[in-house]
Amino acid sequence: MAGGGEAEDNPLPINVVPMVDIIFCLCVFFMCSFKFRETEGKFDSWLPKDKGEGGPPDPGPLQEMRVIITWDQTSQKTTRQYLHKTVKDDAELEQCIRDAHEDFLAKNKPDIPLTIDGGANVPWKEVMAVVNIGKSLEIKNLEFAMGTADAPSK
Amino acid sequence: MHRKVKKAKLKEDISPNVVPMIDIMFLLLLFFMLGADMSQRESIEISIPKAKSVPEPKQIEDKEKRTLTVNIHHATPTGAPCPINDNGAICREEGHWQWQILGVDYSREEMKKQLLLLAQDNLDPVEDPVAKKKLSALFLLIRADERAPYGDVQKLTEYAGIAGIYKIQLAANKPLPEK
Repeated sequence: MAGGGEAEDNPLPINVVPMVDIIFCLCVFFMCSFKFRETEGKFDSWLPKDKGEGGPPDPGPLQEMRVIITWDQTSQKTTRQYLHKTVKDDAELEQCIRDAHEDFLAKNKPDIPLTIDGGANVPWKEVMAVVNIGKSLEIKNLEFAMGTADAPSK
Repeated sequence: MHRKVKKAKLKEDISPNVVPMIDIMFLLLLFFMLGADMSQRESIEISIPKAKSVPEPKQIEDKEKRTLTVNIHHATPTGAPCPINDNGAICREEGHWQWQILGVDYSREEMKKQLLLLAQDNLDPVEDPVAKKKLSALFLLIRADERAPYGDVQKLTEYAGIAGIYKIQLAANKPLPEK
């Protein structure tokens, strides 16, 4: 640390004012550019190695938990359906998926996938919300289907 | 004589001691300099979706692990403002969603070629028994804006699959704990 002392003790006084000015400027610069970043994680989502590149769609399993997401640009609203039931919010969707997943677990079928079937214009956060539900319920298989058509604009 | 002594004393009293201030400023400067991230930005400033169940990032990443980060962000081709996006609505205009690697925007076709090149440069030395070919060891981290079209993520994933990159990671923010 810089030491103190009487002015008379210092035979060669140094003018510190320009240095203080520069340090002030540097401090302001770094303070302004400083940002507290949110914790960013990532979901691993390995692509299947044994499925073709393009080609005809996979007929898929007979049993599945399918969430259909559609987007209406005019109303800027997303509609989510679990099988044929329209769900209002995340809690209702989570309950539907949980019930089905527990049912499959009871039947000793833990590999039944949660299929996310979203339209191309669906906002990414809506898809990630379903991924989040699937991961929180510890569903092993999450699948992304090629999107159905988005709801036509009225 | 008596007056002169008094004046000298007065001068001495009013000069502030700046040394502690300099000390503190040095410490502050050091803190902000070390805290500043000056590295080349792979991750641009976009609002990625929040997910409670996203795993915490590892403190020490595997050095051997090579990750390619692709950002999907909103930007008009001319750089002009987009009134839809600026008003907080979801923009679905053609060409308003860009795919970016290390600060460079690529068109869809360019990205397809870029992924093929990068996948070839990072091939796994061993042939995969399931795919019956050498796959890429590269990890593809998709950082898509929360308002980005899902179709873009699908397309990018499809291109990655064609290139032989099968290790896909989807970025999400862990929401801050509620108070």
